[in-house]
Amino acid sequence: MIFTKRYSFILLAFVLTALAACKDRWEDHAKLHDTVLKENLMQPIEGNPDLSRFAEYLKKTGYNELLVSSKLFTVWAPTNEALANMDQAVVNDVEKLKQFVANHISYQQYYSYSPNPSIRIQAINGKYLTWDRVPSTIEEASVVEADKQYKNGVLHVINKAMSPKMNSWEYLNSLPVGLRQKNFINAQSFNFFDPLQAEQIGVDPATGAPIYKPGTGVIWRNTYLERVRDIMHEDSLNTFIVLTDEAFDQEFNKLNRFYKTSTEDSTNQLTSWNLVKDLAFKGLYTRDNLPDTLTSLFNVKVPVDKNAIVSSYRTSNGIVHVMNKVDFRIEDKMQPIVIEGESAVRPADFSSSQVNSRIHYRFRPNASGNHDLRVYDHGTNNGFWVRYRIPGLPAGTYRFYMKAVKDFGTADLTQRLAIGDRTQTTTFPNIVIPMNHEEEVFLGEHSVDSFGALTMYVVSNSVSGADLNPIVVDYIKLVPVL
Amino acid sequence: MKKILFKSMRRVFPVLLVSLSLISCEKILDVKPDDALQSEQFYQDKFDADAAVIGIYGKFLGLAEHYVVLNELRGDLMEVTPFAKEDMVQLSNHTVTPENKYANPRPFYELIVNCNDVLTNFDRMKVESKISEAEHAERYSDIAALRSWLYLQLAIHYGNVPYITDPLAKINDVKDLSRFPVLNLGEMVQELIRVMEALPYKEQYSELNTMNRVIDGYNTNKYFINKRVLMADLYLWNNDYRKAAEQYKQVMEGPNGNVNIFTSYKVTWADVATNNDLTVGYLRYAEQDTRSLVEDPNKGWRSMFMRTPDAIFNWEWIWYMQFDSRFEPKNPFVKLFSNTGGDYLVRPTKHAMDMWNEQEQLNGFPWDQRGRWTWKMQNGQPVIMKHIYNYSPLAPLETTGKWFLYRAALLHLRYSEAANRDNQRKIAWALLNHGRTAYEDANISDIYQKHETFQPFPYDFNFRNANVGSLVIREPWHQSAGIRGRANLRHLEMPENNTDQDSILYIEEKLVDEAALELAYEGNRWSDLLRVARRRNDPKFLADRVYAKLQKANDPGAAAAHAKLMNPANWFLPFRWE
Repeated sequence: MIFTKRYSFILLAFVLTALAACKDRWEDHAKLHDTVLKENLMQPIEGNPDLSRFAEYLKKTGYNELLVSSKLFTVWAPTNEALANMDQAVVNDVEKLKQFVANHISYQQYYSYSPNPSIRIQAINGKYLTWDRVPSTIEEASVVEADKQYKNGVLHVINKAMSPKMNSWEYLNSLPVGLRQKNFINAQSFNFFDPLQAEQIGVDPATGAPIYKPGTGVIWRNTYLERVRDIMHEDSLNTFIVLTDEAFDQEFNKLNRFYKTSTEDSTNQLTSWNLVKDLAFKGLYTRDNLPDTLTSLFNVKVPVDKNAIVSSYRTSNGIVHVMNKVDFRIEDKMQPIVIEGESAVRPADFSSSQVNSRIHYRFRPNASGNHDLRVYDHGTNNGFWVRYRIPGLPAGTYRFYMKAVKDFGTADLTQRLAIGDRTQTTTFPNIVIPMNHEEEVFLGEHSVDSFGALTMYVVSNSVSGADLNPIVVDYIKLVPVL
Repeated sequence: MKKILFKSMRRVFPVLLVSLSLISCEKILDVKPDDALQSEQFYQDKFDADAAVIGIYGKFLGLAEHYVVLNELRGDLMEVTPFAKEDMVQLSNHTVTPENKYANPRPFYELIVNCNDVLTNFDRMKVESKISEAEHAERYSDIAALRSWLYLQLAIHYGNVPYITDPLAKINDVKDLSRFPVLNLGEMVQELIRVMEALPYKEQYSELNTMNRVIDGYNTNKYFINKRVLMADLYLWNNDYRKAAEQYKQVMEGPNGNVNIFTSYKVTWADVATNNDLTVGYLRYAEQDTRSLVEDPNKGWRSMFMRTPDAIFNWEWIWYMQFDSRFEPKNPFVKLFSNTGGDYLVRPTKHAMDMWNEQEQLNGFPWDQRGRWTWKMQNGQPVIMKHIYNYSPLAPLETTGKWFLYRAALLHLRYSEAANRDNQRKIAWALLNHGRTAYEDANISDIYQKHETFQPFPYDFNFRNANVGSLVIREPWHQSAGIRGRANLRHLEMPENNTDQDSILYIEEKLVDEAALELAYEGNRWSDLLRVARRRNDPKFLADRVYAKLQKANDPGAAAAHAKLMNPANWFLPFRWE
């Protein structure tokens, strides 16, 4: 054993010496022999006479330096022929040219077999490019020479230039038509001042308040983009409908009467909002795969007639259809409003905060939302109340329904719904709902003259006795009479 | 920090080592160790005997995972996750091959050989007057009972097993089955009954016994096997219903000592004012409110798995053991159950979830809160929580936990099983459902004519709770809520016009169902299914339930497993010794 050990030492020493001796040879051995893999992406682009214009643009915009770096890229280089008709306004404006060139470069390596069958690839200018496998196309360009591997990435030669596309927001703002919609959505923009984003340049000696550098910390926002759909965002696909002014007016006039307020301006604002909120959709619906009805983000059915499409534009984040008609059905727009009983907040929405233990959010398998509300043994003999508020109720006449299942005790349920003022008993008097009544009951009709908040109260029977004066609310439903 | 248990274990460890070396390598025996005690040198006084007992239980703790996996994975409530190894998969779908790790009963036999050795030495100490007769009786009976428990487990899972009580047996001798009697399950149960009846001492360690003390900050009095519940279980396996009920009832009357006789082992009602209880509880007056469920770690049904051993803990627990991150063996349950810090090897079955969701609470909510507390969705995966409630992935080294072995609810269900078969259906049905309320009768005005079973022992229960003038009557069972009552569930309906025999079968089935809801994953399921199927001579009883689990998991082998289990010969694991 010792013998072997001694020998292994000798052997080890031998190997180490040998390794030290043939250092150069090892390097030769490990070296890359494929000369193409020694080249960075810039070299073949400069070396190919057919790509000389693109190479020139790369140098002009400084992207040549990016392409010699050690990150990995994919470059779709247009041939000189493809660049022959370049708009000189772009060529001469470095900023515009940068946008243009960057639209042909992405990080990471994508090969012609990467799409399966299609992928969206983000170019380094932030725009997305659509690459299809069969036929091998990127956006509208065909791949002439594919999958050339170099040290820091892969190069494809294409036969058409890819000008950066506008996104749906940019396209909307470039449109010469649909001005009413465009102007309305733009009117939802606002600036606000965020001190955290602003640069502080001093302190007011008198008040101690910070002084900010003018022009900093101002943030631009748009309510439509925030509350409906951000069609400015490059990452997700949208379908957006722009109505021509005539179509806009037609739909506006259908909705106008529901948004009566004290001023014409606010009526216009509300009506327009409720019209355009249902014109943006998730996903890409091109003319070819457009169904006859889309469902908006607010669950409103939107009839779309392909023949009404005036023009369509494929944007970098979806598609915009300009249409001269979208014939909304008024009953789709004006949907019934359901207020869940359990939406009342304890204790703020109840007549006394001393009885929290008597206010029960119950699980009931048959109830709407699987829950209802019960107030039991509250000890208020002159009318315990629960408050519900609808923040913005369109003007009009509504049929009021209530579902309330009293599945305890022995007496039928007696309670009433008061509108606006909890003491008023004239709109809807006390109603008696039989025990275990699983149907909704009709309370009556009530009209509201103008758009606005509606406060309602469910008020218990003014008697004593836990079984005689409970409140039960599964839901209250308002069905507009159209 | 030197711990007494450690010290004690260190003293007994040489003995275990000697036994182990007997097992593993005979030739080593020829060399006398210089640095360890010989067994003859060891058993000198009462404290050496205590150390031997602690040593046995210390090693017993290592069986916890094995026990839960065998008894639950073979049943219908637990299944494997994709992370489980083939050994567990086979257990779950009843395709265990002789090569399976669980086909090897060695973990049980190692401890049995140790028990045999300890018992022989206890006898020798008595003969040599190193311990008194009374000291001998308590310790000997404890270890003999634990050995009986191990043999019962072996017989339940392996069917025919060699029965070895010879102290000098080497564990490899078990290979040669001809040297020892091999008993089947029925024979084993009868033999163990004989052993248990002959024990000189049948209670827990007496108050003044040195075994009743605090070790490593834990009171040990409930670490040791409860001999009476074991005897009762054995009688139940042997269909000696009256004898079983007698033993269970003695335990139900409560442990000796300074305990609350109204609440100890009585499965009691809610303390509606404070919620300091073991019920599925809601805040007072708000029982209908989903948001008022009491979910405090020190209140309600769930707390029995979470709370430190305090007075309320002692109402329920009859036998449990403690894992502590400071000493071996480590808590195996985090690895078994947890998906945050453990290996997440097993999970609840769809079949079990359905059983919980078929229940209706007294407030009309369509579920059994015990299910929601037994397992929960964690990172999108169903995780069995009972054993790992006190484990937090944020403190991965704090693996303190318990091995849950026997508690009051199990005692009530087993007692009811015996009583039902002994034609005492009313009390069986009452303890399963709402306890004392079954003995309320509005038509009888004289309170002394109701609120009682009016039966002799072991069926004597007095639920009376009344104030007559200045006389306050509070009988021992006046707080009895029943298993379903304590869980806030509706009373079960008894089919009308049942024959007596139908009723017995119906109640028995409901008791087994309830045991699933109440006791899931505590290691009782397989033996419950096996015992009842065997008693009824009805393989379907067992096969259907296992089938339901596999079928709801879309296991392609469900039908094959059902067919296999329809033959009682296939109820047992292959017995492989190596």
